[in-house]
Amino acid sequence: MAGSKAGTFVKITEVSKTFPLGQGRKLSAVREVSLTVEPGTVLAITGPSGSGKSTLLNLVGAIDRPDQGEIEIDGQSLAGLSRNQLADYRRGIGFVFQRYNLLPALTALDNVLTPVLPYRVNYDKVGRATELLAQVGLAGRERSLPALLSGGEQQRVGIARALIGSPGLLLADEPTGNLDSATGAEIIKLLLSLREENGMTILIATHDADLASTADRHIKLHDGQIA
Amino acid sequence: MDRYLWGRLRHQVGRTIALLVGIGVATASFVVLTGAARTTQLRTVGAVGRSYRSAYDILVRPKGSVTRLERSRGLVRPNYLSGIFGGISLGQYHEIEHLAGVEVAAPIAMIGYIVPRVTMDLALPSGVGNGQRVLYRVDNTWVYDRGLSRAADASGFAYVTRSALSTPLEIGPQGITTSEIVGGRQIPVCRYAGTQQGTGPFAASVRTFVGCYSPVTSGDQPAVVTVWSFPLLLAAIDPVAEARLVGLKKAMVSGRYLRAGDTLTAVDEGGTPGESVPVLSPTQPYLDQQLRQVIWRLPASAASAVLRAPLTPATAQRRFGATPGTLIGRAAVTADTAYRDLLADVASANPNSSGAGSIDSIWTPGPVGYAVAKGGLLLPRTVSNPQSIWAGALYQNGYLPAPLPSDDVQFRKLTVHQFATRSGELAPPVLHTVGEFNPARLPGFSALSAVPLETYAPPVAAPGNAAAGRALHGQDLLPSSNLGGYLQPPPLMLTTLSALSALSAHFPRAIAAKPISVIRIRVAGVHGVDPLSRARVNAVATQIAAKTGLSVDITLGSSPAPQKVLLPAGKFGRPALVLREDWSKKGVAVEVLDAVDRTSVLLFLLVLAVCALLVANAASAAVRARRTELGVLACVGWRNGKLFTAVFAEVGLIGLAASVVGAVVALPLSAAFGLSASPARAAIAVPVATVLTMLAGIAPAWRAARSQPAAAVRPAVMPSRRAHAPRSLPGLAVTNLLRAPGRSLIGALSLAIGICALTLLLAFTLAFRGQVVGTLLGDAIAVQTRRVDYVSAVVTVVIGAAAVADVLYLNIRERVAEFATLRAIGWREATLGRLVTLEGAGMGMTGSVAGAGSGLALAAAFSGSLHAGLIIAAVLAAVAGVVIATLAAILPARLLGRLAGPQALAQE
Repeated sequence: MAGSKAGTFVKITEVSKTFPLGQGRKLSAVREVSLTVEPGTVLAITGPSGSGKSTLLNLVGAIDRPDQGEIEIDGQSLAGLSRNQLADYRRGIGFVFQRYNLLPALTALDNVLTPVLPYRVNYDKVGRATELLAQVGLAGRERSLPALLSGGEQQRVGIARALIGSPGLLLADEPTGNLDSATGAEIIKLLLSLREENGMTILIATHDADLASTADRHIKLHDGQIA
Repeated sequence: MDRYLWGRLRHQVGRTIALLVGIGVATASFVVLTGAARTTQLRTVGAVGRSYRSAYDILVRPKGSVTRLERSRGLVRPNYLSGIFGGISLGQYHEIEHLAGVEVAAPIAMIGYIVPRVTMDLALPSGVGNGQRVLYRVDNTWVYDRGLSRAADASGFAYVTRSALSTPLEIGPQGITTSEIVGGRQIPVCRYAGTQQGTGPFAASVRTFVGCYSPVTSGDQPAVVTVWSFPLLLAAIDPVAEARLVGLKKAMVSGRYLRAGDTLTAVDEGGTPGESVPVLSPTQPYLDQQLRQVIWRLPASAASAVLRAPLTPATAQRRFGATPGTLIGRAAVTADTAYRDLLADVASANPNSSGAGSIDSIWTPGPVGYAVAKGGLLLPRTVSNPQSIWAGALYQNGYLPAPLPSDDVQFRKLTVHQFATRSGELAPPVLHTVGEFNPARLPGFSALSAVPLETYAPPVAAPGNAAAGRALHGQDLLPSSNLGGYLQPPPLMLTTLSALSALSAHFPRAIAAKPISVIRIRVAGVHGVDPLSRARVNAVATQIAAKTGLSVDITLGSSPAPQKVLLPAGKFGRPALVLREDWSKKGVAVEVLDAVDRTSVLLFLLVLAVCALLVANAASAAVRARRTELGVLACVGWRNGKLFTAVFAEVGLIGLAASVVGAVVALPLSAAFGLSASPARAAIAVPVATVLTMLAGIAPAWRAARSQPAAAVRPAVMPSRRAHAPRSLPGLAVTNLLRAPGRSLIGALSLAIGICALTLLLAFTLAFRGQVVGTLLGDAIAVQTRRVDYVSAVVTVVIGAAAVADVLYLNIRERVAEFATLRAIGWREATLGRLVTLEGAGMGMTGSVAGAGSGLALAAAFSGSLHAGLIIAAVLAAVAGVVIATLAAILPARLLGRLAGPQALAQE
């Protein structure tokens, strides 16, 4: 998915999401949120724990479905997509997780390859993964297992994995949440440089004020609503 | 601790139930299947004596026909047929002959003794010398028991006169009378008396022959007539089977061989309709018996006395039996000679005219009973039979002409069955010899001295000590015509099973619904007494015993076991004799046991092993899933012992509850499937399953006890021992399987055990027609497949497949964040499902190949060879295993969608 250079790239219209808490109670994680993001923008979404940052990112990333409202990415509504189309959509964007979510048995290189591992692509998968690892500063660490990498290095692998499909949209959920400040700063730097190189639209959920300050745009969520 | 345990069980309901179900299924399966394993089994006892093979390998007799003595000494008596008149049905025979491994099954239906008679004329001088008339007396003595028994029978009297005789063809009040015409007067000289009721078959008054002759009246040569009665054992055979088993057809010397369809044929017996019985007759009767006759010419006064009172059977012996006379000559008639005359009579156009070959009665003798004296000497018990067994309403004295040796000491109870016909207009059946056979021509006959198990061998009783040797002049004692005698001749007069069925209408009590006495069986593929041959014979014997409940003796490898017998003295001069009989010691004796079938035991152990693996996996998973929780408990200060106890107690409690439920469920389940599972066995299964569960829980509990507080705050990524580089979905599946090799191994092993069992059973079915015998580690074994074995194998495979599914489920549970990640980065649901399915297939393939390979190796070891049938069986089982494991993976794969939701992303 290549981002358009003009107009709206991400359009979120009155999206809500609730989770059952048992005994008939519900938690409104996201409440009637509307938002538009232009292509190539780095948007920081901040807010305290439980404010709905991750849920909103999951909805945009089609990892979860909204209870109501609509999400359009590059003019395409996610609402009408089938499960397989949603999977294809996810493969077209990049997702960076707070806990990195690497497969522990796979090397750094193979972790980068996982999104396309079972699928045919029209490029040299291994060559591209190697390039990406080099791009995130892990040249020569291709055969390292995640357990042998530092937190920052694991997150770099996670970022490289997110980039394997040349996404137009990168979603990063607390990408520095598990890192010390220095390493977190490096990761932020890396993400911004990637935006410069690839022209991606990046949505970053974070409670890190420094990270948020480096974004093009910044919104704050509170109790599932844009404050 | 109690609160903790209770809380765990109550709030972790899913895992608790999974463990309960696993152990419960395992317990119920074990109880149900072991209940089905009880079966009759033959146990081999003893070692092979000599390398000897008789014409047959297995002797099947009716249940209960094996005497206590045979059982206690593991012997087969030489005349094993004696005393057995029926007991095996034709249905059982047909079932046996169609069993796998049976090459020939040859039945013998002992019908009983028939006593055909032949009259022998002893010619006397026709002249009367210088006198007017002369009276001859012929003293008859039956000599048998190698000359030791001399039974003096009633004499025969012949009155010869120069005068004319007159015999009116009318029967007067005193019978038929012949008169001599002297001076125009008719003086009675011979009176052939009428019925002499109450005198018995052996009284001289009814056995005396009287005859009056005159060269003037007729040209008849004066003679004394003697009746020979031959006890011959009539038996029915299957001619085809008999020809194959003992080569009976090759022993034919005249006429034709019996055909299976030969049956009774309608004949005209002197104006009365009758039926003839087709028989094969032996060339010799195997009787040691002789009639010695001494001819005396009595003084003229004796002849003159006849004119004063006629000769009658009732009085002649008393009047002239001891009268001294002039020795005229001696004669001797052997049984063989008389028998030839009998055969000639039978073959004549109207055999019934002389009474020869007429089957008006059948006698069935019982077995000999023994007492055992000190030193093992056998003491045959004497019995007495009533004279009524010889009663015959058709005869002038009310009795059949019984052979005199039957008046000797007897050892067998005799039962007589009179000819009966519904219409009353049918004459008794007569023998019709279709051919003659010479028993001495039977193959293997010469080996009789080695093992006396041949069917047509005359019984042999050799002198057992020096005294007997002297008395018998070193010869063996042989049977006589004493129907209740100790030695009984073999069945020699042979007819067909078809004729037997027809004959049963006339002798309904003698020929029972189960007419067959014994079945001799030759087993296919038996070449000697090697272990493989023995195992083959044992397998067939086991099948026969299990299917029919008949008494089964394995005769392969038998060897002579001489037994000393003290035969009490006879009535006619034979002293008591110590005899040596060659009984047969069974080389491979077998006993019918209520035992657990060996194959089934093996299969149930496999079920148990798979169940144990299932339990171990479940317990291990329960602990592994609680790593964080246990880490937290360690953090808050729980000691290792407490952690161990907590986990161990939990597993034990679940094991106890599950095994109780499983055992209780097993009872109605068994009943529903028609299997027998006793409450006692179900009760035993409870502690067994509980202990098994606890044993399986030791390792996980030990691991739990070593939990580190750091586990509660474990790193996001668990370390992996080695790197993997999968570049495809199957490669990733293999990688995932290798990540938890122990668990994957449990899944594969569980399936492998079931597939191994299935391969074995398929191999036995496809390659060996349901049974196989062979050698394993030098020990001959026999295996046969039963339906319950297949049930066990299938249950084992199903439990193995459940283990595979369980392993996959546990894998998914533990890797839920990974699956959520893969979904988040764009993997389709179908791709994720395929990954899980491939993991199942991988585990299935590993287990199936290992199981089928092991099964193939075992089957080859059992059979001693490897051939196409075995390989086909192994491939089929392996394919089945992969398919089943793949199908088993579908359920956990479908659970993926529920487990690996977005919230799972934060779990790792």
